[in-house]
Amino acid sequence: MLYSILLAAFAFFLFLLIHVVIFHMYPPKRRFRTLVYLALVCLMAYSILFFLGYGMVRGKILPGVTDRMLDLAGGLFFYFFICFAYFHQIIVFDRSVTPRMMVEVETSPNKRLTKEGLKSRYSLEDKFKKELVDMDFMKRIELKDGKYSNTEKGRHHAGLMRFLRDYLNVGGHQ
Amino acid sequence: MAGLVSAIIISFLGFMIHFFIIGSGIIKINPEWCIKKLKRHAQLLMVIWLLCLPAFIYLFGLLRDTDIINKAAGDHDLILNYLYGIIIFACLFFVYLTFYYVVDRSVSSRLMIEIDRSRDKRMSFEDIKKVYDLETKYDNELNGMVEGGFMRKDGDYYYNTVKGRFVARCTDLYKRAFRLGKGG
Repeated sequence: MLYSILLAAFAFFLFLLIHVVIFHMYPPKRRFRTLVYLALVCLMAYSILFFLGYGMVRGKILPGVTDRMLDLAGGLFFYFFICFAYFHQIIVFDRSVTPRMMVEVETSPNKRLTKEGLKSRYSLEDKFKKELVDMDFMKRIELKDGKYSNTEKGRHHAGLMRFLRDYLNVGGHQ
Repeated sequence: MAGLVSAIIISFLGFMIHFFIIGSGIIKINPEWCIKKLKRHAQLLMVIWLLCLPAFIYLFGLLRDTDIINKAAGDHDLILNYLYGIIIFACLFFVYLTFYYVVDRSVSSRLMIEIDRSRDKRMSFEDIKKVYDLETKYDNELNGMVEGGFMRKDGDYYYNTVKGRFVARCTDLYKRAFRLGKGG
């Protein structure tokens, strides 16, 4: 089991490395699809290494670590991971712009909308306003004399996001 | 494997409890709230998951002590260990995608960045709209859905494709079941 965990972690770090290199050197147009393809390539690497080395490590375990402890730690990881994934799914369904647009098209009388029709049913101006209210609630920004400014927390957040967007070479287009 | 199996079973119990609490209206979360609504859901989920933790530990102990999984798996430990690694990789990939999604697409992060970039670090809503153009945002989102095969454009009209219709119906159903409001 430990072998599987370590190899999976290795494959994931390999994915991160290739992902950053490709996004900097050959920025793809279909980014999400590229990430999925990269993950599949790394899973192939995982599979090859797993079957090549399994015979050598079978039954071996680190001193002081019992199989039961490893199983419990893995189980707790999955248990809280599922909670996180479930919560994230709620966020995606609730906040995403694109599914909301698809719902608006689907619930329109003729199941078709022009851009102007969509704007009348789903206002991005209102969405931006809601986002600003949310950020005010989270103390990321503050409103003074009709102008928004970042709080210290907001400045750190913005700085981190700018760094990550440059590092991953993404964002900005939306 | 007892850990993984226990996690799946008890998490399913957690989903059901959450669905029952929200669906029956025992706890009402105002769908008009934005981030506050999500915060309430997060708190509720955390409480449910922590309250179910003893059940997880109990089930784990039961499955380990009876050795039921190993007995059922027989000599397939190679395949089980292989799949275990794939599940770990899939979890890590999923966590990374959520992080990537926030960095790449988050509207609130973009707003904070624009405020930070502005000359005197202050912007009115009208200033924000000048640098984060709503028309461009509509165009980018619509073009992205057309490119992704979720919508097709015919003249001035946008139609959902089969894939888009499926996503739209699932989203609508989900939002109704969990009383999330229109969202977006």
